[in-house]
Amino acid sequence: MICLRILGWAGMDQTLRQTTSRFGPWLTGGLWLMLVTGILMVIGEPVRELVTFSFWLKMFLVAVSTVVVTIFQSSLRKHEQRWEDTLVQRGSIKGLAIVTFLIWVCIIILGRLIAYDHIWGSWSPATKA
Amino acid sequence: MDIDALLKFLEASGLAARIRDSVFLFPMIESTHVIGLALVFGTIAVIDLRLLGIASTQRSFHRMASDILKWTWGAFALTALTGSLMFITNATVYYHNFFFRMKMLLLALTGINMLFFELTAGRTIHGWDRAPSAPRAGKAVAALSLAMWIGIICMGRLIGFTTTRAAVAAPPPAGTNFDDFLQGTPNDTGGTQTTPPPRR
Repeated sequence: MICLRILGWAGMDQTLRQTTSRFGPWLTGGLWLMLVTGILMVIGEPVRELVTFSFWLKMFLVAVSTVVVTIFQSSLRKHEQRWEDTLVQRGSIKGLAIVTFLIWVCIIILGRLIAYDHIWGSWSPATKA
Repeated sequence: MDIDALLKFLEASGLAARIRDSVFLFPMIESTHVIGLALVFGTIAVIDLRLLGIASTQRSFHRMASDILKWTWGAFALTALTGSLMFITNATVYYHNFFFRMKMLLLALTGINMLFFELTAGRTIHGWDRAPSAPRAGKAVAALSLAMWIGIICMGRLIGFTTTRAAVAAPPPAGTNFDDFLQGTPNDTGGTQTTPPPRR
């Protein structure tokens, strides 16, 4: 929803600050929930999760996305007016919103591909095992 | 044409065979299905939480619904398309699967639930559009909607755990030494299986 607001495709009756205030806590809560359930799944089947290319690429993208979102939220807090007035209309910021959305699409795909890691061929440690 | 013949016809179609035989197609269609479902549930949850008075309580419901629901319907079309493509690859097994039937039943009930909203609280939106929450009927619809969509996600996951060969494989014969598996030495006296990786 935050990406859609930056792109101007939804929530245009709300300021960027209002949008992040509405969805930010749910975003953080969702990330914690995924962290806890993800750790439980890794503990349950460590070989299935850890010996896959998809899992490690997914973890890398989660880390990248978390850094991007943290920087965005910090910058919005410090330069709220500048974000509302000019930054949100910049093409580069809209591009970053699309990239962030696509990173999450890739995270979902990679999460599913953990069960099909053989499609990576020789890149998959599971194939070598 | 009876239902079993129709299911066999779908499974035998060129499209179903192409998806089944491809290394990439099924996982990609399944991933797209999950993305669509995440968007459907996420956007519906935003609406339901507004109806319940838990979040977005300052926004006009009508404005918010018209802003968000187009994304919900787009994502729903994506899940329906990808779901149908997955279904035809193994139609008979899915059709007879308990969790698949429960998922379809819950989907139908969410449709009825939505219709109930339109006939009750949906008719008086102008009266509570700016109120922090919907009237009682709207709240009931929202709570039911959230519960049913969580159920749909759970059923969807359980389909994956109950329709693979790996999931129904017979237990290993008595006397199987599991240390052989851990040491990576094949047990050629029986007990090892060469089932494909489970789809789950």
